[in-house]
Amino acid sequence: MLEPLFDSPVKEKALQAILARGESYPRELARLFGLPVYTIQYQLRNLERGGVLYSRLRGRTRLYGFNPRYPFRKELLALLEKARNYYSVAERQTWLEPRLRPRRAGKPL
Amino acid sequence: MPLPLQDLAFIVSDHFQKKSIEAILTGGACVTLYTDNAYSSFDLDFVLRHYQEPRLIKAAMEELGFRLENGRFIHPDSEYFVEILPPPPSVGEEPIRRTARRRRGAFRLEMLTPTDCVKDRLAAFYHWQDRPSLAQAVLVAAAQKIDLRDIGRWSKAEGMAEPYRVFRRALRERASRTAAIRPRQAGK
Repeated sequence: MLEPLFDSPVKEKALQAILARGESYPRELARLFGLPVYTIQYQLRNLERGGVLYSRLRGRTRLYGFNPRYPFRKELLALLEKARNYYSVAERQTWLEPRLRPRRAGKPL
Repeated sequence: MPLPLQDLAFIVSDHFQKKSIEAILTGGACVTLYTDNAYSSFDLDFVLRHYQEPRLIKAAMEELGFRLENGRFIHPDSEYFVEILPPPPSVGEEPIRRTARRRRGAFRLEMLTPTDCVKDRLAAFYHWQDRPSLAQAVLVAAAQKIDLRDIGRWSKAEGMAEPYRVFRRALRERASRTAAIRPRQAGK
């Protein structure tokens, strides 16, 4: 949706998926988009270097989220929120509307 | 003997100015400078005013003997490392318009004003609940002349009126502790 602005569709998808989840990690996003982990890592690192995202280690996993100190955060989030309305239902269901409530271990789907 | 952080700040900032790279010293190093070493920072964060080609920054730093390693510049004779942050210089949602300029001999340094330095530390406290950043904000506020009214206005604009009250309380507590240990002249 925002490809003319972002230099890569992966970057837009990654930002949308992080926005939907609050935080995410490269392996989760790679699984979601069917892309190699290093492709996602490359984009996330660039976004972190640019101050857009922060990262923190949780155990052995590096989690990424929107940097609350990024000066254009509010405007970027508004842009991403608006773009969400233009994705297909399938896209929304697969990576924009994740199940966030907990699921008990062993519970059947 | 390794160079003190202050000297290194002047050398790097002055070198950038000679190379027409506009960068402002920010972060913990400003706290060290404003509190006369009451707080020790181990890195120098410079935020760029405008986008610069990374290769130009790298070349400028290499002229000073630094080498790039994992996104930060290190020097064989220094325990401090230098990080160059992307533009724009801001504290929270607000752009940094005024900076402080210092001079030491032939070297010039451009850095955050004491008021923006306090805001910068408070931003870390507000958004990450980082207590050491709050302590640093209090140190600078106690050591320098700052515009508390502006910090209050900014905090409110950031949606942080309540955490700002925590800062004011910490500042008052420090002031009362300092007053309690200050020697008092007999009969005063």
